Amino acid sequence: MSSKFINNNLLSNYHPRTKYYHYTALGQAFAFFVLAAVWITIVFSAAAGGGITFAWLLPWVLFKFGVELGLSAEIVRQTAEVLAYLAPTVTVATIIPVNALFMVLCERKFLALLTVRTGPTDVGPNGFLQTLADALKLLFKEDTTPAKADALLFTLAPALFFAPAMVVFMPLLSVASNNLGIFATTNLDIGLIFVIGLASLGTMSLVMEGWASNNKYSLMGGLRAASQAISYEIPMVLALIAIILMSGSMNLVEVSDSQAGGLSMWNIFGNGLIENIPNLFASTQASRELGLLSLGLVSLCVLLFIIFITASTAEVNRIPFDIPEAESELVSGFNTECSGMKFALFFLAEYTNLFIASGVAAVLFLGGSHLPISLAAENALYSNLSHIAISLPLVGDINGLLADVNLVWVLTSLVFITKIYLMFLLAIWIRATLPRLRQDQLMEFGWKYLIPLTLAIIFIMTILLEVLGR
Amino acid sequence: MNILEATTKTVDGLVNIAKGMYTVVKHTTRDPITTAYPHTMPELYPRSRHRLALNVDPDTGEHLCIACKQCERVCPDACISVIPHDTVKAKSTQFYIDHGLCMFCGLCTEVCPTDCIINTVDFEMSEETREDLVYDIRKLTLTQSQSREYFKLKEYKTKSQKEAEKAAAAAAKAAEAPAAIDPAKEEACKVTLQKMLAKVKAGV
Repeated sequence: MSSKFINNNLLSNYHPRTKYYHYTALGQAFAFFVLAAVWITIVFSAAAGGGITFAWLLPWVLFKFGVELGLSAEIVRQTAEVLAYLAPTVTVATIIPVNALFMVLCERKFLALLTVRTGPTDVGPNGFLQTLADALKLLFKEDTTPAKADALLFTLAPALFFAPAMVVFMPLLSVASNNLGIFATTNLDIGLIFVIGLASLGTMSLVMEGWASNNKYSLMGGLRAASQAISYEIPMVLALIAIILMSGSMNLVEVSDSQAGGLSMWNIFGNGLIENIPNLFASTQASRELGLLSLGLVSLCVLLFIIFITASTAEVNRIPFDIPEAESELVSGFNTECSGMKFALFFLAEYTNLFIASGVAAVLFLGGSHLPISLAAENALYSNLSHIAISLPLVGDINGLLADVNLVWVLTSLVFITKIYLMFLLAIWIRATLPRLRQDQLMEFGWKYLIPLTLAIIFIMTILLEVLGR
Repeated sequence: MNILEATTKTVDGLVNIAKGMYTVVKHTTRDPITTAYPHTMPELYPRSRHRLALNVDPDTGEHLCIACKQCERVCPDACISVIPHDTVKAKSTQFYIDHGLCMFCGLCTEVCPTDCIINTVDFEMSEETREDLVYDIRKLTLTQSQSREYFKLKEYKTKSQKEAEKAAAAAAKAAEAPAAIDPAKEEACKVTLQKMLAKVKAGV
């Protein structure tokens, strides 16, 4: 045997091996592509199915048979209206669990790739059903409450943590679906304030869980979560304000639409100002000044992007800012005493929060649901797609929501989801690289560097935008 | 801290983070360092010391144990018992090793004159009871092909190879001609002898 190592498969009398297949890198990539396609199909059909059932099917059935069953026309109309406006909730409720399963799987596989491991390989093809199995396991686990815990708060906290995540998800629906009729209620004029305001509610339930567990580690975790949320909410909101200054709107759909028309229009590249940078070498003085101001603004935008990523990583309690559940110090932080579905809810909500943070970053900086192509090309694409319009039989006045349903939403959703997952991969990449900060380092970084920096950026940005006349 | 220092520090930090992230991304091209152990066996060195086994002659298939009991004597844990054959010389009827006691020091394999007892590379020896860890001669003895493999791995020589080498050495010795003695030296020897004999006579 020429090799330095030998394999004892052939030399053992006692332990015969079953054949084991390990995917090559190309096979892995292909398998993951297939998985993503399957997942997208499941998510889209679930979301569309849920949405259409509530926005059209149930109202239609009501209008068709409600009066015959003896209901008054007014009750039929009002019930149908309530059902139709529940469509976004149902859609979000179907998307979140499926999405979280896929995100956890993605995280485990890509983190393994970055840290030279294989990740889950055993459950299902190439380990792709691992998170599904985990979720099932969590469903069947016993739900324990510590003897001296505050049972009410202890049980309430996971639900209160999950609820804001679900609500905050909704404004993203109107961005993803290109302002589709059935999600009309989610197109909010105060979109960003809504997202920020509700997203920070979750922290309260972390403190609640930490206190109610009657466990010192949980309490420490909860307190840390609160201090971290307070510290990093400020730079995040300040970064948002800078972007609002530039876009002139707090409506997520409008912010997204203001970045349509190519890569250079994205806010991370100064909303079109990056095209002025070659003017630095122009002949006239005014031109050069324009180039310089644009360069300043674009670099500020890139800096804002980095700040936003940092602050939102801290907001969703991810490595390197996961001190609320620092497992080397606090066992598992605020969810130390949680088991079964309580833990699952926390887990689900954390990944949903991460998804939302990635979504907000994609809307604010990466052009939202718009392809990086020119406006004319995009409009041509949209008009081609809108030929495949679905005409559902309309009844009553509710179904005006479904007036112009076409397949544009599939394209915009795909683009948006791709951007969100790119941001998610960035978060995984950061997780694989950076070590956890200490509590005092975290506070120092937030208060002494990020907040002054963001304030200065807002100040300079306001002046630059005024000078540039935008 | 002035503005310039803060700016330098910030830029420095960002550059360092970028360097770290680049290092991490470079690792994606490597093969996984972990192995899926129950499915794939780890690769071991041929001389790694695990489960004990008894070799047979790779050529003839006869058992190599000559019941010399050297392994039994050297074993620090006293986990080996050899029971010699009643009538036939250099043959063992039974051979017990308690793997529950064995600490895999490998001393028995070093003293074995016939390279019979060896450490194999199989380390999976879980059993349901402690009694099952006491292996008898039937369980210990390897097949002829396994023995051949181990002889190759551990670079042992088989009986026939040893005999062939011995024969070759003898032939080489025979072929070597006796060296001629230098006449001058022989003369000197004779002179010395005469002197010594003279001394003896004088002494008497």
